[in-house]
Amino acid sequence: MPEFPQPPVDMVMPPTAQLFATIGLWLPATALFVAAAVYWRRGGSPVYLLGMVGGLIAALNEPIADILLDCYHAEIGQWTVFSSFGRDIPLWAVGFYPIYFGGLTLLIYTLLLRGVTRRSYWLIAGVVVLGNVVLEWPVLPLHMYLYYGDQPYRVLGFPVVVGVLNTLGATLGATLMAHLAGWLTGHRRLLILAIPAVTDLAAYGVVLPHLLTLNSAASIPVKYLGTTAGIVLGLAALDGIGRFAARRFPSGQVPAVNPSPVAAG
Amino acid sequence: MSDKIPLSHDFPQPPLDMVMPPTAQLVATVCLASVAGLMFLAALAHWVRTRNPLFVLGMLGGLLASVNEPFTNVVGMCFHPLIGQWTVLESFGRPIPVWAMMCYPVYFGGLSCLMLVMLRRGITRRRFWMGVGIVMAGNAAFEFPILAAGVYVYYGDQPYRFFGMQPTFFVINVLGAVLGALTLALLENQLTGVRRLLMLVIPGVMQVAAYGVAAPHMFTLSTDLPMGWKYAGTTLTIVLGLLVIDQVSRYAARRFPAAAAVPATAGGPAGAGGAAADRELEASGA
Repeated sequence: MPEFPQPPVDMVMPPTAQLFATIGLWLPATALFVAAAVYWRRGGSPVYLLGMVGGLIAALNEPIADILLDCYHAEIGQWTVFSSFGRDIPLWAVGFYPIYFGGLTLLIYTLLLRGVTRRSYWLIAGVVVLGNVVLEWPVLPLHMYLYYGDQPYRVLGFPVVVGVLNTLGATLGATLMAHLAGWLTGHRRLLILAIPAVTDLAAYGVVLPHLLTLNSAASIPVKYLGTTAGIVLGLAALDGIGRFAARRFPSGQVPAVNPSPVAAG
Repeated sequence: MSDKIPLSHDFPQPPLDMVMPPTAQLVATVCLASVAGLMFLAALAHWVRTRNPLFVLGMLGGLLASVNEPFTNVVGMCFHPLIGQWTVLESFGRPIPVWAMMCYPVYFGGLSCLMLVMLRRGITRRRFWMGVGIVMAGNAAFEFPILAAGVYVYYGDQPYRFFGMQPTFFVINVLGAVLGALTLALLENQLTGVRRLLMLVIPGVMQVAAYGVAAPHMFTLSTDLPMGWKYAGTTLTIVLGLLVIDQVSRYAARRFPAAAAVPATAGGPAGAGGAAADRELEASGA
């Protein structure tokens, strides 16, 4: 088999950090689940709860993401939830998904239904990038996981392209949910369960030059070129979605579909 | 560096000792390159005749999409024999042969362009599904003979495999192709001047985007779960994929209605007719 970057399989999961990260992520995740359930009980719409569960289901993408992005969770001493592609996924990492692809996606969804301009859309995208950084930066120095290989534009261990990629996945999911809000009624609402996972993976299409060069024996300049192309394409796709959202959900006007997520339900 | 991905858990590994049959490789390469070459020539002739480079860009975009092949091989557990292979590119530790690269301009270039032509002429849901059938038949036409010749293999516990083919890929591939065609049709009139070059990335991006629906298949295939789970995951992907294709067909039939018959070149999908259809769609919330 030809050479390409391999994960550091002898890496050990630091137990205290694992405990803190697990609690630190699952507490807000649980709070969001409870809030969504309470909202359903009070408002009658299960959309938020379905979105949260959909975010949790998207955690099944983590092994694929790890293979594609050269990310590795220390397996020795890990509290494993599931394995795929030979990659064990820890409990704390699963907790990331309902917060990011559930909670943050639903935040964008709500703001879209209230109406956006291109400027406010980019502010929202900025908040989502920030959310990604807030979730990943404190965990990276604890050496529970790492991005291995020759990762271009890595800032404090975090590759910039991952921020763009995750933001695109979350924004795409939220825009799709908002666009289809009038159609996702009755039993069709169950499709919301699949949206975060599908759009998370779909976003990988635009960072393809990054994935291709990262996982090859190409020289560092070629990898930088590939990653740069991935970031530019990702930002272009985000901008395209922003233009669509500003037309589809114009600020200051009655939303085209539903005045509120409750009505959407 | 090990000769096997040094991960801590067992999951299906490719048959590294498999040998590329030389005659089959030659025949596959010549056949696919000939078809791709003819399609490129047709696209060039169309450019010269109409001054519109759309199909040439679509074909080149299809060719560029071939950089996805290593990724699809890893997640879909497909393997091209390394021994005796005429390698053209490599990523994820997977060398890709010339013949496999030639599939891309044919499938994600030519067949996508065919779908694009159908969209520009106006389409009904019935005709859209006919187009999907043609694209699937195109996929089968070159995959079945090549699989039988042993120039590549789907390894591991692949549910619903028949004659060596994993049918999930009929659905994922056709979804990628129609998404590419639809995006090209939607953006055709907006991507002018230098922005036309963005068309080059559309087939590749849409092909990978279609893998979004493949998550249940990919996830279960790459585990040591019992076969029942793998069948459930693959079934879910096929159902999800067909559902998305159906939604795309509904959208396409409204966005490019057959009755309107507004050719893209004379006003275009993004022109007056298309924009009106968009507004109508938005008003209906669909």
